[in-house]
Amino acid sequence: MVADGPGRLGIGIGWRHELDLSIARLPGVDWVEVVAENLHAGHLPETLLALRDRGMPVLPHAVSLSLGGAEPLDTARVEQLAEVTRELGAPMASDHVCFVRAGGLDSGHLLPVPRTREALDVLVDNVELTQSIVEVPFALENIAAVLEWPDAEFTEAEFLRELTDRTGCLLIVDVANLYANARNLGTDPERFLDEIPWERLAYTHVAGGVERDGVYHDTHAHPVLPEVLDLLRELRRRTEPPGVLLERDDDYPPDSELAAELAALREAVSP
Amino acid sequence: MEDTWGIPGPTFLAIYGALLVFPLVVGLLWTIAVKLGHKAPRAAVRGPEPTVYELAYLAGGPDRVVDTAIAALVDRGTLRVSSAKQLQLTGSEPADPIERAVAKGARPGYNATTRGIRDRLRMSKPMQALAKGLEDRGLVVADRVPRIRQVVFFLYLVVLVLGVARLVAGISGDHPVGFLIPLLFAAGFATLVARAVKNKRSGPRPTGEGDRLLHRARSAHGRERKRGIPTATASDGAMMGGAVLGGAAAAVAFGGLTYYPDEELSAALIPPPVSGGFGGGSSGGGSSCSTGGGSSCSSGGSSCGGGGCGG
Repeated sequence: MVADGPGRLGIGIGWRHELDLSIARLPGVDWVEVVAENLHAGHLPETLLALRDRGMPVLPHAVSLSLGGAEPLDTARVEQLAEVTRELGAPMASDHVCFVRAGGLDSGHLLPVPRTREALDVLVDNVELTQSIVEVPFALENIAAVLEWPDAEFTEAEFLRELTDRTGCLLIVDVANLYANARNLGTDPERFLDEIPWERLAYTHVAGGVERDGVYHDTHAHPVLPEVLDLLRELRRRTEPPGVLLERDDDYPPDSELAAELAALREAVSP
Repeated sequence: MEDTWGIPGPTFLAIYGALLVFPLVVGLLWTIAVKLGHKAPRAAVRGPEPTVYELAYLAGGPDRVVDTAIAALVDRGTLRVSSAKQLQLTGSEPADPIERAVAKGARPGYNATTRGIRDRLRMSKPMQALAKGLEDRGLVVADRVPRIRQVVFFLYLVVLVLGVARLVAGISGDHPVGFLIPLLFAAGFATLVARAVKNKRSGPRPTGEGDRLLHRARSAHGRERKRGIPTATASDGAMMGGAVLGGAAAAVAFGGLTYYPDEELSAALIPPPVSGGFGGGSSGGGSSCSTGGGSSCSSGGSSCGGGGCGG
């Protein structure tokens, strides 16, 4: 089973309540992504619905499904995502390759999944169950890992390829997370880009961050680093991403700066 | 039988009757004196061209100044407003003292709304400095009305207390008090009215010269708009100097937040109506428009339109 992608999206920005009137006025916004957990089905924000009614794609992005978790999938969360997706008329929905809950505790962070065959089996089961509940193609995003589990049986790209092969899911490649892992864990981002199954790419994420005491923090509250833009260009050398999304979650700069970052993303992926 | 306090009843009633009108007379005479006193410096000092904030003060007082600064900062991108009516500072604080005070109220973490910033700035230092500058140039009258109203209220309170003391003394001395009681009711009523008047917010008072200056600036602004001079350009430095008035700031200075050129932003900037029914009169008729959006308001506009409020 291979899911169709969302089609050509263009350049987008993460929709946030604080930015709602700005986003409607920013030049160069082709689509938006919205954190699904911040929405309540039946009570979507008017400003978001206005974008949808204007014909702008609005794609939900979940953060709490915990698909890599060993516990049974919390299908109520998936149902909520499915409902929001329906109301938004979105062509796809997504979450991350991670777990956020274990032993009844919420980590508050996206935690990496051990890259073992066993963990992959669990992930595949959960993704398949999710796909059966949401009625649109489902995508998974690579995270910025705070640690790496020992005894990995796959590289990250191999793991993602296995995952997409077995479930038919799509991928969201976050180049800022790729950069974070390269800085903090010493992974090779170019090798990742070489090995990823590009035919499964739904879109890419780009975000800002900051380096403190030798550790790169994927804050979404700082400007996008030139190094991250370079990685986006590297990606563009290998494929033409259907969409690129700027994530900004705090310390919002003036509209002009957001517009400049969007323009920089557009420039980086233009042929 | 000895008279209470050595004053015979009928004499006290006459004195008390006079005391009942005394605070009112004091208030009226004082107000007239202030008005006459300010006829004199009407030979206004010719100063520099007024800034958009000075014009806003003449048009609608401190709240209008705040609204104008918010409009200018939103227009320049220094402030962002969301549909939840929250204002947020997006960058560094601006240099202009009024703008900086407004921006400080919208730093991240502050629960900043138009109403909150108005409340914070009404008696602030930069606002007082702005008023003082206008006063020195003979464009506004220092507003003595609140002080006068306060004194009148205090006088009525004293009269009321005096009457109650006489009543108590009279009763305990077994004197007839039947005529005093209606006068006490009158004193109580007058005290309540004085208190209500004291608590009423009073607007700024432009002088005749202040009104004329505002009128000239307003017509010049209207003419420029008719001639199609682009008015909605952001970061128009000349606007701040006051020589060329354009953009969102000038529109709001003259007309209130309903005249912010972007209808959706205008609706987000106008504070929601207060449920208590406490007047928003000086805000350019904003409250009635806050939910309906722009179109229903744009013609209704500001009640202070032509000649300025309270002039």
